[in-house]
Amino acid sequence: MLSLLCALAAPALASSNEISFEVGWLGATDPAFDTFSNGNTLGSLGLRAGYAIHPNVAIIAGWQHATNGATVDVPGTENTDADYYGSGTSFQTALYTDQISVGSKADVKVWKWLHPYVTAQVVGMRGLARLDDDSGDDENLTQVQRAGLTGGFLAGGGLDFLIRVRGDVYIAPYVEVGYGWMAPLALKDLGTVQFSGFSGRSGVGVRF
Amino acid sequence: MTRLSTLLALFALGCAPWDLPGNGYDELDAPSWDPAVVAASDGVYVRLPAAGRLVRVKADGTFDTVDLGGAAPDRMTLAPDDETLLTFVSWQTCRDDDPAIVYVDECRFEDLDTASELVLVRDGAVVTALDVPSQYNAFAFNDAGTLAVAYLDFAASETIDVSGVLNLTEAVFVDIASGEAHNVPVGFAPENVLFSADGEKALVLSRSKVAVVSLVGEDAWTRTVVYPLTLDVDQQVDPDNAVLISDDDGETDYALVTVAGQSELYVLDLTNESIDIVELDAVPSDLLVDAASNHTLIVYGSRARLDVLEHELFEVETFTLDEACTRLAGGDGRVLLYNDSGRTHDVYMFDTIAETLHEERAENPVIEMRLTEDDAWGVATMSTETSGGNDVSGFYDQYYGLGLFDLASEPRDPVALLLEGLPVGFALTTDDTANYALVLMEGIDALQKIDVGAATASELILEEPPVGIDAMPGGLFVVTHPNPLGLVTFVDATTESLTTAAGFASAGLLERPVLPRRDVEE
Repeated sequence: MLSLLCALAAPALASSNEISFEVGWLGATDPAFDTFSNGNTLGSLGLRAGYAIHPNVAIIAGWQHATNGATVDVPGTENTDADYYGSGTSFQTALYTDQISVGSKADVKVWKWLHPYVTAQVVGMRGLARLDDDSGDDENLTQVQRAGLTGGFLAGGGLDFLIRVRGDVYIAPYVEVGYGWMAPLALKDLGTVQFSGFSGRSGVGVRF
Repeated sequence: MTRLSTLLALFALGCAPWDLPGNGYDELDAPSWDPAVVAASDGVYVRLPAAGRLVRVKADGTFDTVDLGGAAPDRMTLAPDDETLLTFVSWQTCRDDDPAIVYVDECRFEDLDTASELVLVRDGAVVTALDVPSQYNAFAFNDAGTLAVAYLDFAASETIDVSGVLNLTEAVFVDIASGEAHNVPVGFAPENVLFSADGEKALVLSRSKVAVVSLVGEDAWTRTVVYPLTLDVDQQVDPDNAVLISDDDGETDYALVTVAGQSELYVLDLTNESIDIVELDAVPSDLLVDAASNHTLIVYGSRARLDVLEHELFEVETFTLDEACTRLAGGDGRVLLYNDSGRTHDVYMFDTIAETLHEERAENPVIEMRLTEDDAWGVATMSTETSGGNDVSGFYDQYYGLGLFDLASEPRDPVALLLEGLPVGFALTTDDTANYALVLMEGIDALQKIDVGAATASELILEEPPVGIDAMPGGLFVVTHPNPLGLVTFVDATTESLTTAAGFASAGLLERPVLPRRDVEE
C-alpha cells in the first residue's frame, strides 16, 4: 500500500528494470543464533532483479545466501565414573540460509541521480544447519544435518544513486534499511532459530 | 555474458557453501550428553544436560525425545523390571507472574526458583509423576522389582542438593506399578535398605538403628520395629554392610549387620525381635551369604583369614590365608576371595560344601572381579604395578591385564592375558557354547571379545575409541564413545554385529529454555 501511495504521488517517472549484486543484513538476536555466530545479524550476499510494471513501480525478486559457523566448546562431564571428555571437546557448526524474496518497489525521481524508494517484500527462507565434530572427514558418523523452511516479510526504504553509462543504461549503487520479520526456522529436533529486527540491503547494479 | 558467468562463479566460491565456516565461537553451559547411560529393554536412555532433555536411543540406531513437560532430567535409575526408569527431573519457575515472561532468561535471577519431582518413564513416555524431593540420590528395589525406596546415600553426598528443607529421617517407598509414594520415618540418615525374602517387610539401616517397615496389611508403610545398635545416644554407630539370612530350617530370619570401623557383627533376629552380637577378630571388609551351605563368609582387609559363620548358633570357623582378601564373589557353592586394594595378589577359590580352599595368584593386583553367569569362571581386570624386575613378571607388571580363574573343583591354572591399554569397560556374556568377556580399552577403537574357556580373543572394530560398556536386557551391549554430538554402538556379541547411533546429543541444542508449566492469568 505504501508503495502504491508513493507511486501515485510521484513527481516524475523513475522506475526501470534492474539487476544488482547486493549484500544484506537481518536481525538475529535469538540466542539460538549464538551457536552459529557471535554477531546479532545475519549477513548475506545475493542478487536482485526488478521489472518495471509502472513508471514508478517495479516488481522485484531477490536471492540472498548466508553462511555462518562457529566452534562450540563442550565442557566435560563430572558426575560419571567414565572419565569422559577430560578437559572438554568441541564441534563445528554451520548455518546456511537462502532467502527468496518477491515484492514491489516504488520510487520517485528527486534528481536525475537520486531516486528514493520504498519497498515491501515477502520472503521465503530455507535453512540448513550442520554440526560436525570432525569436519575434515566426509565419512564422519556424527555429521548432523537438519533443514527447515520459514517465511516472513521485509519492509523499508532506500536510495538509488544513478550514474549514467550510456543512453538509458545506468550503474546504480543503492542502500536500503527497514524492518524484517521471519517466523521461527524450525530445524527439526535441533530446535528453532528466529530472525527479526533491523534489515538492510546495499548493492550495485545496472538499471535499464 | 562471460564476465557475468565469471562473476557468478567467483561469488559462489566466495560463499563456500560446502565447507563448515568457523569464524564464531560458542560454549555450552553443560556437557552435551552424559555417557552414564541407562540401558533398558526398549533402548538406551541418555541425559542431555546442555539441552535439558532425555532421549531414548533405540537399538536400530534411531532416537526420540522423552516429553518431560519442559523439565530436565537430573538423575535416573532403572528398576529391576528393566522397563521402568525412575528419573528425578527439575525445571525453573519464576515468582514474577507477568504473562509476558515466557523464557527463563526473561525472568530476573532473584525471582527464579527450581522445582522438582520424580517421574516414572516407560516405553519412552512419562507414566507417573511423584512429589518426591530430588535430594534422594539412591534407590533400593525389592527382589520382585515392584517397590523402590528412595533414600540418601551419603557416600555420594556431593550429589545431595540441600535447597529448602531436607528431612534426613525419612525414606520414600514408591510402588512402581501404581506410582503411589509413602514417606516413612525410619531414623536419622537412612543409608541402606534390604527386603525380606517374603517381600512383606523392609529393613532400613540408619545411624545407630535398624528399622523394620511393614509393606503389607493394616500397618503397611509404618515402622513396626526398631533395633537400636547402641543404648548410648551419644555414641554414633553407622551400619556399613548387611545381609539377610535364615536359619537352616527356614523358620527364623536374621539380618547380619556390620558397623563401620567396628569388629562387632550385629545379629538381628527378625522373627523374635532380639539382638545378639558376634565378636569378630577385626573389622570385616566384606561378607557374603552362600546359598548352597547357608553360611555367611567374612573376610578382612587387615587379617589373612576367612571366617565362615553358620546360621544356627552363629559360631565361626576360621580358615587361614596367606594374604588378606577384601572382597568375596560368587555365593552358590563356590566363592572367590580376592583383594581389590592393590596390595596383594592371592586369589582363593573356596568350595563352601567341601570347605576346601584352593589358592591361585593373580599376576597383577585385581581391579575388578566378576563371575560368569554359570559361576564357572572368575574374570578379573588387573592394574599395572611398579616393578624393578626384567623377567616375565616385570614385563607383565607394565601392562594392564585380564585374569581368568577357573572355579571348577579341579581347576585349571589361571590365565593371565596382557591388555594393550587401560580397561575402561568390562562385561561378561554367554552363548550356548562358551562364556565371553568383552573388554574395552582407553583410546583403542576396538572391542575385544575373549572366549574365557579357550582364552582366545577376537576383535570387533568400533567407529571411535570407547569409554564404557553396559549390558542391555535381551543380550545386546551398548558401547559409549567420547563424541560431543553423541555416539553409541549396539553390539550383538553372539553374531558380532554392530549398529551405531550418532548425533542424538544435538537434540534440542538450539532451544531457548522456557519456563514450563507456567499458569499465568492474562
